[in-house]
Amino acid sequence: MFNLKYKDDLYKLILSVFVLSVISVFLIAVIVILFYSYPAIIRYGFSFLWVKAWNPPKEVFGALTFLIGTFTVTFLALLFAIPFSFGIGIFLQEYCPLFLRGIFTVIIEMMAGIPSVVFGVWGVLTIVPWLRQSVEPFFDRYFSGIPFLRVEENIGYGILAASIVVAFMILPIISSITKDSLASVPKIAKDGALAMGATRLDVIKDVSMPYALNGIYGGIILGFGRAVGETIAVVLLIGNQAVIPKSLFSVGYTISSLLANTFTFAVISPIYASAEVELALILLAVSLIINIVGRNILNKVIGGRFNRSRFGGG
Amino acid sequence: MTELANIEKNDGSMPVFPVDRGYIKRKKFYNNIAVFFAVTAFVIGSFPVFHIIYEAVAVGHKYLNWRFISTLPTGFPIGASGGILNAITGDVYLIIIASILAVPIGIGTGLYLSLFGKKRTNSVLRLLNELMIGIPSVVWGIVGFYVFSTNAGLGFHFGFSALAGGFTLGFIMTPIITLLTEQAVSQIPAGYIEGALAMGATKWQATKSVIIKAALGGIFTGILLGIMNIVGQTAPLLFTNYYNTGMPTGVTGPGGAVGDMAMLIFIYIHEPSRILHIKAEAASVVLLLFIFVLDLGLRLISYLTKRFLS
Repeated sequence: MFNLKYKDDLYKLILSVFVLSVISVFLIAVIVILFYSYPAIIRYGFSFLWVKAWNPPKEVFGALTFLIGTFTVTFLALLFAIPFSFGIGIFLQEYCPLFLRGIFTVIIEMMAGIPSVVFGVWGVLTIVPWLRQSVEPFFDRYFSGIPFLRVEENIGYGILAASIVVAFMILPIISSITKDSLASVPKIAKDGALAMGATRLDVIKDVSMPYALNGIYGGIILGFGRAVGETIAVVLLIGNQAVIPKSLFSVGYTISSLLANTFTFAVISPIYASAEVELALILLAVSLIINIVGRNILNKVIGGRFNRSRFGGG
Repeated sequence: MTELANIEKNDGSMPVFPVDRGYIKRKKFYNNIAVFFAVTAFVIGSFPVFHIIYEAVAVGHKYLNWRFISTLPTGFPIGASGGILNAITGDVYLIIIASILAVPIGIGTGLYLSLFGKKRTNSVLRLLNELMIGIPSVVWGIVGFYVFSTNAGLGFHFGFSALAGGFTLGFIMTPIITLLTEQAVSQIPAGYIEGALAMGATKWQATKSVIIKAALGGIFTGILLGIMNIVGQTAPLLFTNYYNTGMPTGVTGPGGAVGDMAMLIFIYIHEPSRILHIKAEAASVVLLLFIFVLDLGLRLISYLTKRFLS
């Protein structure tokens, strides 16, 4: 006869196998990246991080150009996305009429579901022509003296196009986490302030924001994590030239777009492939650190509740 | 009452609380400005959703017919005539292969977390899963290349094939299903499971007869979210599957590569050809339609679950 205890042990054993596979998937990812980047790490050491040249035939590899490209696009995207995300979160949680809140939230969540390649197509067919025909000529005429706003080639592709589209892609993450953080403010605190004659703005400024601010920081950090790894939309929009961007309108290159464009050629030469995997290692390390920090902040504020907008990307 | 009446002829011995009408007006004005900015942010922020859909339909509507969906791409450059059948077939392959890997592992791990996990193991495992969700997809692509596709060194040597691409997408899908299964089980009213266990059921019997039924909605939500996520992925497929303009002849090795919607759109928009750009938009409409139908489905499921569970 079956011993009941024994039966549960068997069940636990079977489930443990699945748990081990999840752990091993994670470990495989980390080990594969470390293993294949090892030759480049020992050959170039830390100089990999500040050498500008990227010359596969001469086997000179430095990540600086791509690091600068990646972080420029990421910071610009955050710069564009944060004010709008604040506004959207505040609008949905505090100002929006209740009967519209559901449908408006769905619209923002739908945006999180749109694949990155579709955003890229939209960027190529909408944002790039708009920049080329309206924005760049305008800046060229009136702001050409300012170094960061100089238009070098009027082609539309470049840092700005990529940042705008990436900003729209991280907008749903930050705004829905802002909304969730605002929703976690105790109603009694808000009602108390309203009863004392405070306006909605006072409540947001003095009651909700101080309470929700940590959660919003968490959302921004997760948005940063998404933007750093964003690949396909950036490949289509950034112009893909290994130069350090001098202005908002110049072309550039990011780590992820370099990997997407050249990794399949790189595997022919071991050291070239290894250098590319080391770039992936940088992305992996950044994403792991960012997610640990962001998750810890978020768990304190909105608990373990999972936000749908955190999925997606490609 | 006497005090109130005396306010009019206050001789200075009583405190006066002035009502500053201007102050209130100013406050209301600032509030209105805040409303204006919040609404503007929402309008501009949600503009791409509408514009992406509008533009995709406006540009691609010419090809939105049965022939586009049911024929393989032909012509020069490839895709100039014909449709996207290769991509639709390929997506079916990839979804099935990814699900074979991700669904059992995800559900199993989720059940372990909620039934057997100690507090410490749980927090470590949950962290691991959330970290896996955060890993950029291009990094998963490189991992998938070295594990499945490469023909040199260690690995499975599948070549650029549906199996390699599908399993890589399965890696991305697993943590999503894990976390949502765990969430679904944790949302079952505690009495259900405790009741079953109190009646002498083993945890397996409780799973079989109570938990699976009560958590089914949540688990399906996880699977649909996972599928929704992987059909939009392009970067992992660049190094594991790439693209095939025809039908696959197998799932590994030469001829094992499949087409893929996201990949097709990516390749078409890269070509300097107006007709391929139009086709990319038409394919975007099909892809978005698929994603929104899945979205609708999982909203329906979570609505029904909420309704019948509590």
